[in-house]
Formats: sequence, C-alpha cells, structure tokens
Amino acid sequence: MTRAKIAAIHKAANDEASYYDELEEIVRVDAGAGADRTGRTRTIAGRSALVLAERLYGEFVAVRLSQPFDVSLQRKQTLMDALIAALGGLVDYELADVTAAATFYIAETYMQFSRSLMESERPADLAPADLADYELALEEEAFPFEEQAIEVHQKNLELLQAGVFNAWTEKSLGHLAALVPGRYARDELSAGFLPSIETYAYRSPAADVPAVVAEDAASPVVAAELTIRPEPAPAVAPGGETQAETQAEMPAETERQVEAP
Amino acid sequence: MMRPARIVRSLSTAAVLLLLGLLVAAGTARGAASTNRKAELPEPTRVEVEAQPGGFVMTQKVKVSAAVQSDYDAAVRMVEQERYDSGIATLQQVTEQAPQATAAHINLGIAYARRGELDLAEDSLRRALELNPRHPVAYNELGLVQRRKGEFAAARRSYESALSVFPDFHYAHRNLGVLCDLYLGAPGCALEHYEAYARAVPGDEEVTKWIAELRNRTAQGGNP
Repeated sequence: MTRAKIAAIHKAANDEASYYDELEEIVRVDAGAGADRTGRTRTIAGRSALVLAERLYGEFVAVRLSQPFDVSLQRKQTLMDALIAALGGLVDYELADVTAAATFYIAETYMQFSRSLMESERPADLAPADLADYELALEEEAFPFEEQAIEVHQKNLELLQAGVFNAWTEKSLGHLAALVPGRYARDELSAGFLPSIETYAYRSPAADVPAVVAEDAASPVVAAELTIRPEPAPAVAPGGETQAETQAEMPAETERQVEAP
Repeated sequence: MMRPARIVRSLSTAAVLLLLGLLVAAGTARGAASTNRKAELPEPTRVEVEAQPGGFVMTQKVKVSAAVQSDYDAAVRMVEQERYDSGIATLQQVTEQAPQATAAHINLGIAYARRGELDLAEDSLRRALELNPRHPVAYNELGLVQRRKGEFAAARRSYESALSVFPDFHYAHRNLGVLCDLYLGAPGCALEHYEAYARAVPGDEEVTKWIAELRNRTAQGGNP
C-alpha cells in the first residue's frame, strides 16, 4: 500500500497525528529520492507539503497578539517566518495548483499579520492621548503588510491571466476585489430569465433616455407593446458566483482543506 | 401577445433593410452538437429578428399547448423567486413537451448556472444555440458559464458572437470588458468594451469609474 493511501486512511479515521506523520514521511522520502524521483512522487509530495503548510498556517492564525505584546509578537513573527519559508518551498515542486495555493497563503499570511496588529490587545495603562499615538503606530506597522498581501495576490492574478485557473487563483481575485474594489470588483451581468416563450425583445437602455428620440421611431404605443424588458438580473462577482452565493459559500481561508494526496 | 401583421406595419423601409437574419432557420448551428444530438433535434422552426429603434425583437413561432405555456410561465416565476429545484424540474418538462422552444433551454441554462451546475448549464445553452444560432442572450449566458469554467478564450468567442448579432448588446460589452480586464489581462479590449457599454447604459456610474481607473492605469503602464 502506498504512503498516500495510508495517509488517506488516517485522515478518514480522524487520526490527525498519524495523518500528518505520514505526509511528512512522503515529503521526506521524495526529497531524498534523487534519480528515483518521478513526476508522480513529486506531485504527491507537493500536495502533502501543502497540507502541512496549511496546518502551520492554522497555528499562525491562532496566535493572537496579546499583552505582553513583545512576547506574543515574537511568537507570531517566528511562526510567520517558518510559514513563509514553507510556502516558498512549495514553489519548487513546480505544480501549478500548489504554486497558486502557496501564493494565496503567502498573501493571506501577510494580510492576517496586518489584521492581527490592528486587532491586538492594547496596553491597559495608556492615557487617551498615548493610546491614540499607539493606534497610529499600529496602523503604520500594519499597512505595509496589507500592501504586501495585495502584491502577492496580484501574482496569482498574473497566473490566472496566464491560464492557471483554479480555486486558488479565483480566491485571490475574490480577495483582491474585497481589498481593492475600485480596481478588481467587476460584476458581470446576466441578461436574466426570458419571460416569453416566443419573443425576446431587447432595447438598449440608452434608447430610453428621454432626450434621445429617434424621428423615425415607431409610434410610442406600438413600441411599448413590442418591448419586453429583460428582467434585472443579479450581478456575478469575480470568482464566478452571484454575489449572494459568494458571500454564502466563501469559507474562511483557515477552513480550506486540500484533498488528501 | 405580439401580432406579426402589426410588427410589419410598424417597420420603416430602413428598418426592414436592417432586419437581422430574417427567417433564420433552426438547425443551422455551427458544429456544436454531436451527430447523435443533432438526430434528436426537433423539427426546424422559424425565427424572425426585427430591428427596432435601439434594439430588436426576436420571435420564434412555437406551437405549444395552453398547459405547456402555463408551465413555462410558472417556471419563470419559480426561477425568478430563486426556487431553482422546482423551476428546473418544470423547465425540463417544458423542454420535453416543446423541445424546439429556445427560450426554455436558455432559462434552463441560466437556472443551472445560478445553481452552480455549469456543465448542465452549458449543455442547455448549446442546445438553445442549436435551435437559434443567433440568440444573443444564449451567447451571453454561455460566455458567463465558460468564464466561470476558466474557458476564457471560448467565453470571449461567445460574447463576440452575441455582439455580431447585435453590436450594441450591452450585456456582452460589459462582460467582455470584465473578461478582458480581469481574466485576459487585455486592457485595450477592456476599455473598448467598457466604453461601448457606457454608451449603451449612460447612467451607469460604476462603469464610468471603471473606465477612468483603466485609463489611469494604462497611462501609467500598469497591469494587472
């Protein structure tokens, strides 16, 4: 039985420790395989390494920046360094989906760090004026990480535009739409359901502007009878679903799981 | 219900000359269907496309019973109320009873797409295009489905097909603009179609902002 199958059995049995041990073994064996390394072992190892990195991401997210601030900050930074290194290593597997996933998680790591700074526990003994200065200093520290998150998500968008279409590149686009709506929130339009089984009538909205009246238009009465306006349809947000569906179905990134290799 | 005689009387000579693909015979779809599926196609029907000021009217004479007509109307109400399970089941019945009814296939495709069943949506929309290869709504909705499936080049062709039927079809301009902007990284194409959309929908301030942002970005040489 292959290690991948054994890992899947552990996962199905909710034996997390054995599951992750098996994934680590898969990664270790592939890394040391030398000439015996194949495309298949590289793919399985790459996806195993992604699952391991996701576990590390979960640990990173779980660390809250509380008082004493220096202590919790050092713990979170240490985890962030390890996480960025692990995610960066995933690119070496040269698998499009794993690379896109790693890029997505690197961006989210920066974004999560930025949010953690802003949501960190404030010192209890600050005077109001000092607290205001403290908040300002936090913002100044957090903002560059948000900018880095945007830049890394944009790398995934470049992958998307180069033809790498998967859940990760789509999710990056969805996050960009939330972070930079003026640039990336672009809703598509469905024409909507056709109310008549026989007739579809289209009339450009510009034709309804009162100032624009064509001299040779049909009489208003006839035109009104002939026009069936397409019903307004829900807009489709980047990422593919209608906006309502996107909000309902978008899981928190920490809940995202990768298929067992 | 529209009366053909009145339609003809309402047309000017120029409008008659602009008739878009008058009497488009069904069954001339371009190779989208397999041989087996073509064998299942219903009797050809006639589709009339009449130019109107600022638009067009596309009419397919469909002989359906009062019961099928009632089912269709009920299905439209259901899907508009987002009752997709019952709406899709009813539309399926309509397509069985009146397989030549293009509108039923289009609505079925849209309903499947709203439910995230993209392959079924694509099948229904392709069937609609087999019946009426010039239906811009079918092309527009097919483009949306193809974009969601990551088939960007195919989506572009679908939107362009919609625009070849009616060059001012604003849905296709907007969607092709978004496709070029976000998914193809083609700012020139995006700007062209955002601007065409804005001409067709002059009150859309959101797209006006998109155009300004895109012009600003391209002036700075930036993309994506």
